[in-house]
Amino acid sequence: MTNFLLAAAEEEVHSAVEAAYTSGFWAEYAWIMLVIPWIAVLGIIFFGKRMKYLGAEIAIGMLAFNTIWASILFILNITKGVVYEGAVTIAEIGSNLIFELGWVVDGLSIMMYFVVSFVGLVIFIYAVGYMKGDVRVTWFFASFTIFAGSMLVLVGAPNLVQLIIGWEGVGVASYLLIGHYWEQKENSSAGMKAFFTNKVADIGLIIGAIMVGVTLGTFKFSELSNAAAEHADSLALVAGMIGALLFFGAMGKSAQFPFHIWLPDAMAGPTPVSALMHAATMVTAGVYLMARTFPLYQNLAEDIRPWMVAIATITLFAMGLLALVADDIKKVLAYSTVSQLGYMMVAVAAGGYTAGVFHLFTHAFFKALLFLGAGSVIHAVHSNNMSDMGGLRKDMPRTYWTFVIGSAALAGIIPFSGFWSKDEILVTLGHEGYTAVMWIAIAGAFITAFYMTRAIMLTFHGSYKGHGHPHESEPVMTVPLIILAGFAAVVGFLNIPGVEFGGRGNFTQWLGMREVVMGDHHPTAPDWGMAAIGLGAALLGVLAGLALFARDKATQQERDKFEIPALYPLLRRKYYMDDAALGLVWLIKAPFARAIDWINDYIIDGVVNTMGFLTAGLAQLVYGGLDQRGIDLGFNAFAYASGGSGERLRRLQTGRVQQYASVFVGAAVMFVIGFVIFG
Amino acid sequence: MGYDIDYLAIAPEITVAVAAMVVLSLDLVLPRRQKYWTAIAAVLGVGFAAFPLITLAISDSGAASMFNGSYVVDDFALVLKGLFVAAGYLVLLMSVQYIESDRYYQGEYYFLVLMSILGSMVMASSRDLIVLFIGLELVSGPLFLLAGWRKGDARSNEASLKYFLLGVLSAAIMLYGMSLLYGATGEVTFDGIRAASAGMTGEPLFILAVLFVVIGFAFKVSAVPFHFWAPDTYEGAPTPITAYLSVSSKAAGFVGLLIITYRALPEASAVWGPAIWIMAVLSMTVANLTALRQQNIVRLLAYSSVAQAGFMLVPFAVAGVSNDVDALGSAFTATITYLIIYAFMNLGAFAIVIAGARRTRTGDIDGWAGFGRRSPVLGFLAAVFFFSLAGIPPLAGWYAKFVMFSSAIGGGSVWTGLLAAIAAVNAVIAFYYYARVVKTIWMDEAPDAAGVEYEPVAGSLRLALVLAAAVVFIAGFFPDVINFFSETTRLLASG
Repeated sequence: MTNFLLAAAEEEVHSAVEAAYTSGFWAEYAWIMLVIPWIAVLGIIFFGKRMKYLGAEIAIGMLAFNTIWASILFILNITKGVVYEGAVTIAEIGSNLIFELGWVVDGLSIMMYFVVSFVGLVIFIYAVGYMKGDVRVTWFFASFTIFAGSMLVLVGAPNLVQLIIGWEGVGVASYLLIGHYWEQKENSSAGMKAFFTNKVADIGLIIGAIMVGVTLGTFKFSELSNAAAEHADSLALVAGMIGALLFFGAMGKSAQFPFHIWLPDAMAGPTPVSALMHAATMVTAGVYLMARTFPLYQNLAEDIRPWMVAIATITLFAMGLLALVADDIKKVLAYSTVSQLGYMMVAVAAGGYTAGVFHLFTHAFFKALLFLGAGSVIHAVHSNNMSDMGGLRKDMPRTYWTFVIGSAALAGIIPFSGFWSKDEILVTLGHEGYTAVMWIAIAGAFITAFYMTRAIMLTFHGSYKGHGHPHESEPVMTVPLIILAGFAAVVGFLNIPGVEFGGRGNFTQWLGMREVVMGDHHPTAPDWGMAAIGLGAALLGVLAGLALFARDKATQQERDKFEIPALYPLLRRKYYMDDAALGLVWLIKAPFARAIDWINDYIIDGVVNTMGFLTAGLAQLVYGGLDQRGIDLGFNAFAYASGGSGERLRRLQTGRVQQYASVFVGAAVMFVIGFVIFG
Repeated sequence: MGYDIDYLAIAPEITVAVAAMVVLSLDLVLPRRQKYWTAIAAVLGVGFAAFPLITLAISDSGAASMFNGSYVVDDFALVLKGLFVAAGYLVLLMSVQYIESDRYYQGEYYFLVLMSILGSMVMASSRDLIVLFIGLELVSGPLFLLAGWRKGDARSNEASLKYFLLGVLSAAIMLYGMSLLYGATGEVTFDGIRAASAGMTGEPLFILAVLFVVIGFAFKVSAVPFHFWAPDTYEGAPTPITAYLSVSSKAAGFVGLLIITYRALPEASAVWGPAIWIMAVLSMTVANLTALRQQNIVRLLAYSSVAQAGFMLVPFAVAGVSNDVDALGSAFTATITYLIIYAFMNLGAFAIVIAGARRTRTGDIDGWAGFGRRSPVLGFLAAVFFFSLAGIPPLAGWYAKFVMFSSAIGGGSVWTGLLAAIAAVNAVIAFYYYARVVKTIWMDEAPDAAGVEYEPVAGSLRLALVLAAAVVFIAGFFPDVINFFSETTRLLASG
C-alpha cells in the first residue's frame, strides 16, 4: 500500500543516479515490483474467497510477474550492468531532513529481487498443495503476500526509513503467519515471541537510523556509503555507535546469538512459511542490512567488526551443535539456518561482502528446498518428529532425492552450490586473518554434514515407525522441489573464482554494481587447498553420520532376537559396538550439545523469562504498590500534616481522593524544594 | 492593536457560542421525543465553525490582535482551533447514540460540551495570564459536570467528584503561581513577562511561580505524579466524555503549557526543562508499567493516555536544556505534531470502545475475545488504532514517535540522549499492551459465541470511526500533511 504513492506521484521522480551503467526502462519502472504485491493483497482480500484456489492465483500471478521482471534485470545486469535509484519525496522533516520512498536497482538489490520473487513463487505454488483444505487459506495467502511484499519494499529501499517500514511489515506479517494456527496457544505465543525478540532488537535499528539522519541530514544509503568512503568528519565521530546499533537490529532479524531464540519456535507456522522465512524473506534482512551499509563497516566502524565476528562465530558453531540433538525435523533445519546465518554474518563482518551475500544467495535455494522437502514428509506422515518417520525413500522417491541434493548443498559437498559459497567464506576468513575463526567454521562444516546425514538417515532410511501408509506428495508439491533442487545444484557455479560468464565476469562483478566500491577481497583463482580442507570436513561429517545412524537400531534388535537367533550373539556384539558408538556420540554430544541445549533452555530463555517476570513484577509493584496503595504508606504523614488529624475519619469515608490531593501537593512541594534549594 | 474587536477573526468562537445558545434554547422548546434535534444542532454548529477557520487560514490578513495583545488570532491559534473543532466534532458524533440511549438530559449535555470546546478555542488565542485562565476554566467547568453525567452510577459520581476536587486544587496552585508571576514581573501579558523575566531566573519567588504554573498544567495533561485522578475519572465518566478528556482537554492543557513555556517563560527554561524532564520520565515509565496490569479497556486507555502525555512532554524537556533556536522550534513543532496525531488515533480507539461495548457488553479486555471474527470491520479498525498508538508504520503513530525521537536525539546532550533511551524502552513496553488488545480481539476464542446480540452501530459513530481512520492512514502515508500544520506554528516559539 505504501507504494501506491510511487504510482500516484511517478512524475515527481527527482533523483536518478546514472553512472557509467545503463538504467533503461526496466530499472526506471522497477517500482512496479514494489507496488503490485499490495494491489495483490487487496485483490486477495476482496476477491480471494470466491476464486477457485482462494486467492492463491493472484499471489502466484503477482510473484510470477515479479520473477520475470527481476530475471530481466538480472540478465541486463549480467550483460551490461545496471545502477539506478529513483525516489518520491514524502515529507520534509524540519529544515533539512528529507523522507523519501523509492527504489534502488543495483547488483545487490537485483539479486534480492530475484531471490525473493523466484523462491517466493516456487514456495507459493507449493503452498497451494500444502494448504489445501486448511483453515483460512485466503487469509494465509494475503498475509503471505504481505510478507513477500514487505521484503521487496525492504530490499528496494534507498533509505533507512523505507527499510524500517519494510522491516516492520515483515515483522508483522511473520507474527500473523507464525501464529496462523492460533487456536493452539503455543502457536500464537511463538508468534509473540518472534515479534518481541525482533522488537527489542529494532530499538537499535531505529535509534541507529535516527542517528544517521541527524548526523548526515539524510537517510539515504548511497550518501551514507559515500560519507563512509570519504571518511566524513561528522560521521566518523559516531560511526562506531551507528554501526553497533544497526548491527544490533540486524542480530534480531537474522537470529544471531543471543537473539536466535525466536527462530526455532517460529516453526509453529505452516511449513511454507518456514521455508520463505528461512530462505528469502525474513532472516536474510539482517545480513542484507549489513551488506547494504557495508562501506560503513569497511571504512569507519572497523572497531566493532571483531565483536560482530565473535557473535557470528558463536552463532555458526553453537547453533549447529543444537541441530544434532533435535528430533523435530523442522527444528533441525531451523538450527541449521541459524548456523548458516552465522556463516553469512561472519563473512560480512570479516570484510567479505561478496562471500556473505553469495552464501545468502545459494542458501536461499537449498534451504527453501529442504524446508519444502520436510513439509512434504510432514504432509505424508502427519508428524514433525523423525522418531515417527524412517524408510520413506521407497515411498517418497522424489522428495528423497531432492532432499539429498539440498542436504549435499547445505553440507558443502562438491559440486553443489553450498560448497562454492562456504569455500569462499573460508577463504575470506583466512585472507582477513581470522585464522581461528576459519578453523571453527571448518569444524562447523563437519557438524553441518553430520546432522544433515543424521536427518536423512532417520527420515528416509531404516524402517517406517509412524502410523498409516505414507504416499508421495502430489505434483504441485514435488515439482517445486525438483525446480529448487536444480537451482541448488548449479547456482554455485556462478561464482567460481576465475570463471567468467559473458561480458561482465561472474557473480562477484554483478554484485559489485553499486555506486560505492566495496573494497572487499576477491580471489582470482580457486584455492584448491582450502577447498580440499572444507570438503574433507564435510565428507568426514557424512561418514560419521553414516557410521552412527545408518542402522535402524530398535527394529534391528527385534529382528535379531526373534527371526535369526543363530546370528544373535554376533549381532548383539555389533549392538555393543553401536553402544560404544553411542558412547562416542555421547562424548561429542553430551558436553557440548547438551550443555548448549541447556544454556539455551535455561540461561538464555531464563534471562528472557526473568526479564519478563521482573517487568511484570515491577508493573505489579508500581500498580499495586505505588498507584493503589503506596500513597497510603508514603504520604500518610503528609495527609496528617496537610489536613490535620481530624481528617482521618473523612479520609476513610470519601475514598482516596484526599490521598491523591496529598500526593499532588506533596509532589509540587518536592519539586519546589528541589529547585529552590538545589537548583 | 487596541481594544477594537475583529469580529471576523473570532467568528469561529462566535459560531460555537451561538450553537451552544441554540442548543440550549431548542432544549427548552422541544418535546421530549424530539430532543435529538439538539444533537443535530450541536454537530452542525461545530461543523460550521470550520468554515470561518478555513477562511481565516487561507486569507493573508496576518495575525489579528485584540484587547491590547491579550487575544491574538495567528497561525498557531488557527491550527490549534482547527484541532479542537475537529476533535470536538468527532466527540459529538461519538456521543449521539451513547447519550440518546441513556436518555439523560441531552440538551444540557451538548451545551456543556460546546462550552468546553469554546474554552479550548479561547485558550489557543490567549496571550495573557487572565485570558488563559478563563479559557482553562471554561474547558474544565463543564467537564466536572459531564464526568458525573451518568447519575445513577456511583462510579460516575465518584469520577466527577474526584476530578472536581483535584481540579480545584490544581487550579488553586496554578492561580497561586500566576499571582506570584504577576507579583514578580508586574506583567500579565506573555510578552511582557518574557521581557521582564530576563534577569530573575535565579530568584526563589520566580522559580516557585514557574513551577506552580507548570504543575497546574501538568494536572490538565495528567502527567505523573499529578495523574491520579485520570484512571478513576476516565473509568467512571461516560465514554465519549472520557474520549474528550483524554484528547481535547489534554490538548488544551498542552496548548497552555506550550504558550506559557515557549512564549512567556523561555528565560526560565532551566527551571521548567528539568521539571518536565522528570515528569516525562515518570509519566512514560509509571503509566506504561501500570498499563501492563490493566484488565479494563478504559483503564488501559487511561494509563496509555498518561504514557502518551509523557511522550509528548519529551520535546519540552529537550527545549529546556537546549539553547539553539532551531532545536527549540523543532521541539515545539514536535509536540504539536504528536498532539494532532494522538488526537485522532486516541479518539478512534475510544470510538471503537464505544462501538464495541455495545456488542461485547463489557469493559473487560478478556470480554473482547473473538470480537474480530464477529465484527471484522470494527476489529480491523481496532487493530489500526491500537497499532497506531503503538507507533507501527505506516499508521500515523509512527510519525509522531519519529518526530519525538528525532527531537530528543537532536537535543545533543547526555540528558536528552538518556531521555530518548528511556522513551525507546517505553515504546517497546507500550507495544506489548496495545498488541495484547489486538491479540485478544483477533486471536482469542470467544468465551460464549452464542447469545451475543448484534447491536447496530449508529451512523454518526460510523462516521466518526471512518474520519479518524482516514486521518490515521493519511497522516501515516503523507506525514507532510501534519508537518505542514505544525510547521506553521513554529513562529510562536521563535518570535
